[in-house]
Amino acid sequence: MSILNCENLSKAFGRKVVLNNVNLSIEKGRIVGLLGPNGSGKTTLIKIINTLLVPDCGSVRVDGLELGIETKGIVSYLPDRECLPDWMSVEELIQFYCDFYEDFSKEKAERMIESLNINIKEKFRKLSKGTREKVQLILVMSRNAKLYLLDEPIGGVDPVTRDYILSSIIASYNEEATVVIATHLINDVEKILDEVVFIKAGEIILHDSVDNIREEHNMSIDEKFREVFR
Amino acid sequence: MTFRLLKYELRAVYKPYVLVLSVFLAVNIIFACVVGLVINALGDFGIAIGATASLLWRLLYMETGSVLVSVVSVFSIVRYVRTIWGKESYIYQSIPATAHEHILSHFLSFIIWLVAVLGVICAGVFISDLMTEGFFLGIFGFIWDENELIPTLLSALTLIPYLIIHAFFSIAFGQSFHRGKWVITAVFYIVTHIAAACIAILFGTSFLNKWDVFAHDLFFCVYTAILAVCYYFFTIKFVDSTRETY
Repeated sequence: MSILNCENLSKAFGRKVVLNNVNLSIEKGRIVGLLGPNGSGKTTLIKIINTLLVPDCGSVRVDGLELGIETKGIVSYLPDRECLPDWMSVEELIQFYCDFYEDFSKEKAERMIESLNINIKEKFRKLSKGTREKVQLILVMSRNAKLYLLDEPIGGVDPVTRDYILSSIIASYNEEATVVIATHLINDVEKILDEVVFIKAGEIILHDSVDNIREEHNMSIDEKFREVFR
Repeated sequence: MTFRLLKYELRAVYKPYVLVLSVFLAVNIIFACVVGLVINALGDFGIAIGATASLLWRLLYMETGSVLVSVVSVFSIVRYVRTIWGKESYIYQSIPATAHEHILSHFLSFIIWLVAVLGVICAGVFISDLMTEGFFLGIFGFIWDENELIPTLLSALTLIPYLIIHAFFSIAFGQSFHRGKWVITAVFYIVTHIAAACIAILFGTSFLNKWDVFAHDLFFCVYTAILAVCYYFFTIKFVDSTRETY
């Protein structure tokens, strides 16, 4: 059964068409790379699934449900920028997530924060950029959501932090859940993906499993990406 | 969910508010102590000095109170913009809450802080009065003339929430455009405000000849309350249907 189903989805900002008749279906329990160059529509698609944007036409269903309050409760979203209230301490942020999401595991979040030696009493704004990104990811991955939408989770961080983030994604998500990772840093995420979706100028041009691409085309995802988007 | 959102709205601003209101109250008490000492020490001459100082203080007190109400309004609008369309909107809009719950929590937070400010202003007057053995309320006496107090309070209690809801609505309307969001917000706010005021004056003056001033004020309050409710529901509709978080 598919966890995410987009049908004839379109979105334009003024005259600029960002998504054009997108049809996409993703099965449960998969780690999917939403791959495309900058401006291809990855973030817009993720924002629509997370109800941050309203599509011009088409429909989206998450776990069979139309977008709304129920889907917000089962989707865990990591935006491509820092969005947490910076006047809160890390401890208050954990409580914030605990208050608003029934599926949030406080113990899991505290354990991960502790393993990184982050001071739980520290204000979010006083943390370094890398640490802020880690805290944001920990909060998102500490939910037992059905669908994780991670928008550029490794953009703008050093290679060590990238490794930490990717290993956290693998370690944190349960096998029933689906993870969608939007990125253009293919090399780094390739090793953890089950499927890839290539998006170009607002249209899905390829949706296949990583194994198929490797076997049929005899090339890595990164090589395939370069070939498609050249 | 509304009360959980409200809890975080109150927490987001309580530190500066508590600080400013405490300073406001403390300065007021210190001034009242000084006036009390001057009256007791200098007799009739002290009463004359105390009366002059208190009149000046009253002016400053009212102006500072107005500034505090304005600050609460501005802070409420800033929080509203930040959590619905700004940086924090990514997290707040992802929470399983409706637009109605978001807007209601902002509105309730504004009302709570407004009541707190008005409460501190009133408390300041009463504490000052207590410390000067009735001297302050003698100076402030006119405020408690019920002919003016009830319509004034009634007008303030409907007009101030109306203005904030009107601001929320205008921002939601302005944000639904792709360009010139803030210019459209400002123009829309001013135009609709003038239109609402014109209608109020047009109908209000026709009541004035038949009824007394109180009836006129009552009409004004009902009219602004109805407008506020309309604006509130239109705001929810705009936030829900034209949400654009960039």
